[in-house]
Amino acid sequence: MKSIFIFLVTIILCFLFQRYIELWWIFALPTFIIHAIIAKKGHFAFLQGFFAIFVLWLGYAWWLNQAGDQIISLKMGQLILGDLPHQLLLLATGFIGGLMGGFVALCGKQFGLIIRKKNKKSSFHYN
Amino acid sequence: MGDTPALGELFDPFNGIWQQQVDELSETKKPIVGTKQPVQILYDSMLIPHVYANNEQDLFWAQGYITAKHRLWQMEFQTHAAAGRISEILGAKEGVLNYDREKRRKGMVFGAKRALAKMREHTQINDYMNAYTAGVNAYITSLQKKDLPIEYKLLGYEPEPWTALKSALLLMYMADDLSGYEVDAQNNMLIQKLGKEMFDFLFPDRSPQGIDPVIPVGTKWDFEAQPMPEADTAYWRANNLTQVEATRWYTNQYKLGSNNWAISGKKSKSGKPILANDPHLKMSLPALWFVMHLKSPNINVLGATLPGALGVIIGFNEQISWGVTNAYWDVKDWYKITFKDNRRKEYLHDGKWLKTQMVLDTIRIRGAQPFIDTLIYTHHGPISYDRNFKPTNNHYNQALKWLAHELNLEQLTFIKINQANHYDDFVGALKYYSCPAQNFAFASIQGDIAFWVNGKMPLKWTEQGKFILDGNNPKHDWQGFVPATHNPHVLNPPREFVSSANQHSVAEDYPYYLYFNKVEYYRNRMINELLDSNQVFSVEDIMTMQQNSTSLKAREFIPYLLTKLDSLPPLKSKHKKIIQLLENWDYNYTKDSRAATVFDIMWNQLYASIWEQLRSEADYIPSAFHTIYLIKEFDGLSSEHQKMFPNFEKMDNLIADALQVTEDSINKLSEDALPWKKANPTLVQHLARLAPFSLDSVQVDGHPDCINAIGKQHGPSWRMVVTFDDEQAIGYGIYPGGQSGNPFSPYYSNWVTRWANGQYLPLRLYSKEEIQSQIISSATINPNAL
Repeated sequence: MKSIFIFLVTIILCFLFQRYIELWWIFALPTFIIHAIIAKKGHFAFLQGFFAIFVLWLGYAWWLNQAGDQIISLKMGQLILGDLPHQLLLLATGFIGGLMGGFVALCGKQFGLIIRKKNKKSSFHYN
Repeated sequence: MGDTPALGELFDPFNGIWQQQVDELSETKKPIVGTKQPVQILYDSMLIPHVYANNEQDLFWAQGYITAKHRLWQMEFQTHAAAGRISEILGAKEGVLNYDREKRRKGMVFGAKRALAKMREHTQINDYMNAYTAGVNAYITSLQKKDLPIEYKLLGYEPEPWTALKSALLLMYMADDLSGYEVDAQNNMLIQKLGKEMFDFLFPDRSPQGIDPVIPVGTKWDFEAQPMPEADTAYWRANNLTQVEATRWYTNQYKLGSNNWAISGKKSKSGKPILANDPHLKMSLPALWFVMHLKSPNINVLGATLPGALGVIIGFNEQISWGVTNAYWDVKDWYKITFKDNRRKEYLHDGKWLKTQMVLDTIRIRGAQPFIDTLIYTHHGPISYDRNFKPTNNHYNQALKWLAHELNLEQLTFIKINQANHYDDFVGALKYYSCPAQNFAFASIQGDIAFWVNGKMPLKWTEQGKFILDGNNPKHDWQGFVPATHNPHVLNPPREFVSSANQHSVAEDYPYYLYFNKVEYYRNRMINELLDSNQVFSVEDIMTMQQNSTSLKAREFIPYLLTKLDSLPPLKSKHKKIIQLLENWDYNYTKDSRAATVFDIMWNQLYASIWEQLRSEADYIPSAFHTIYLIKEFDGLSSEHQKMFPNFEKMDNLIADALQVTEDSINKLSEDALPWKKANPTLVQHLARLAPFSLDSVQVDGHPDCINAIGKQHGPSWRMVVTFDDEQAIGYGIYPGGQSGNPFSPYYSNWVTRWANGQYLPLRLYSKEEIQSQIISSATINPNAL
């Protein structure tokens, strides 16, 4: 349950950030922070980040593409993929976003673990 | 950033390619502000904007804004190309760098800056230019990243602010397109090789068969001509050009042409004049032209605009209509320069050493160190070719004197024509125009038809500038200009029509020397043949005439060929199929004609083989028209002339070979690949040559020799027919493209099929009330918020 919750929160926050901030990589910020906060050993940060951004990018691209009768995937597919099926462009979009999301989530998790370790160490020191 | 933009940026669904489906019909969410008074823009069902403004400055502000809204990438890209700035976009590529250097070295930016300085001096034009610029920039600043045209995203860059210099660069772009072609080096090399007599025989200034000039033979000149300057004869002997120079400095062969004509009320069914124009420029997507209706207290004009330029370039207002074709005047000359020494600080002129001006020119290159070129200017103009650029063993330094460096107030000409009420207004507007020289056809509601071959004409002695000139000899400098009122013109000629199709401007009795870099011999005679009849034309007849695909070349050559074959029975029986097709052909390049395909293959083969040697030596050969004359007249030529062309002695063999090649080629084609539309499809290509944004097999009637002059990539880039009722002009027009520059828009190429089928769109000077039922979208521009 918790991982579904994190997955949804990541998608929603990333959507809002991307919608209002004109930087293509801005999804990295919420993804990183979320995974840094909830970081613990054994959680599949990469997969979580991957699927969140995969779904967000593919879903939004699909929605925009449908709204325009698929003309974008048809023409851009021809330009980028040549004779391959044009729907692959949607998959590629999801995959590219997902890959970056996965790595950012992983980095966030590792960062979170290091910070917590440090904090633990420092609390030992003070006790 | 390398050659490709970052994938993440490109695919990001929030800002990247997926955002491209902009709905052109939706009203802008943010209010548009910037004009002095409110401006209303109403789009009709064809996405033609009708702009209603309360003053002219607001009108041009809105023109800038609306043009940018639909054509931003194109207008910026074209001006980048004109300025030699493509390396900034495409990065380090040798071909691209050479393209940029050549543009700069021939003074494109130099000319644009001078033109801009002229325009700045004219208060009215200056104000209009500033308003247009502000309009474009208001649109650019309103853009979010996601709204950028797709080309910016794919090439990974962003638009920069528009400037008045860019508008001047666009005028240079057109001047280069239409007056940038010359054959001086080829002429010089060939005349050295062949001698004057033989050169003139092969490349006569006027065909010995006679010409049918734009201004009808017999027109009386209504001016006292100035004396011609003293000539320098055989000056070409001083040069020693080789094939290397002649071909290296060769500007690509023009593929452009255009038609325009106007008939008086006496020749039209309605009793009102009809005007027609179709400029055959390169057909691209986004299209070269953008149709607009501009209305303000002093202007009410509709027609084809050029994105980046103010006003309408080809169109009509309530009282008059006008159209243009290219005049091909030679206004681009080369001067051989002698430097004092290697430092190139001084050059020889009239026995004295004059100082050069040296400018370091920085070409920015994306992802690489800038390239710094040394540009040297003389009083003639910039040195284009020297030891640093396309050098040759002879160490030529070639300075360019080009009228495009002396643009005048062309922009004012068009704005004044846009407002002209009658012939006198029209003529008054022409005097501000310098380059490229154009054939202006005119018709008015008052019933006048007229024609002006108009441009600034250098006052030259006979053959001045036909070959490479001597930069030292002051006699070789341009000796001033012909007064604008002496430009060839005619008003209401007795034949009741005026016309042009890139042929000679004038007959031999014109008192000034004019050299034409290229002249057309077929379309103009076909137009005149059709108009010079007893027929009375309707608007539909004139439209049909614009699609006329009869080839005079075929009509004048095939009967000769068939007669000739009668005397060669073995050939005749060997190529029965070809001969039968040609015998039954009506000389029309219609879509389904198989004979057209056969003739085209056969003629191209024969033409190439006749001049095989000349082509390999100079890549410059006599025209098809002159070639056919020589073939037909061969027996009557002097033996001197005959001997010069061993190929002609073997004419029968050449014909046999051409037939064989044709036979072989068509045998390779399947039966359904033989019709003309399949053998010769037309390509309407995206400006960045991206295949999915191009149309690669538009099937059409026509051939460059016909009135319907459609070639592989050039053709009627705008077709317009205008007539009048009792109150105002009524227009029809179409171009192979669409109003939108967005490849994903339904309005991007939606006119192409209609254009290919010879259909037109109605063009009306609607008032705000009249247009109401047709509005599909609208926008309002408001004054700056208080």
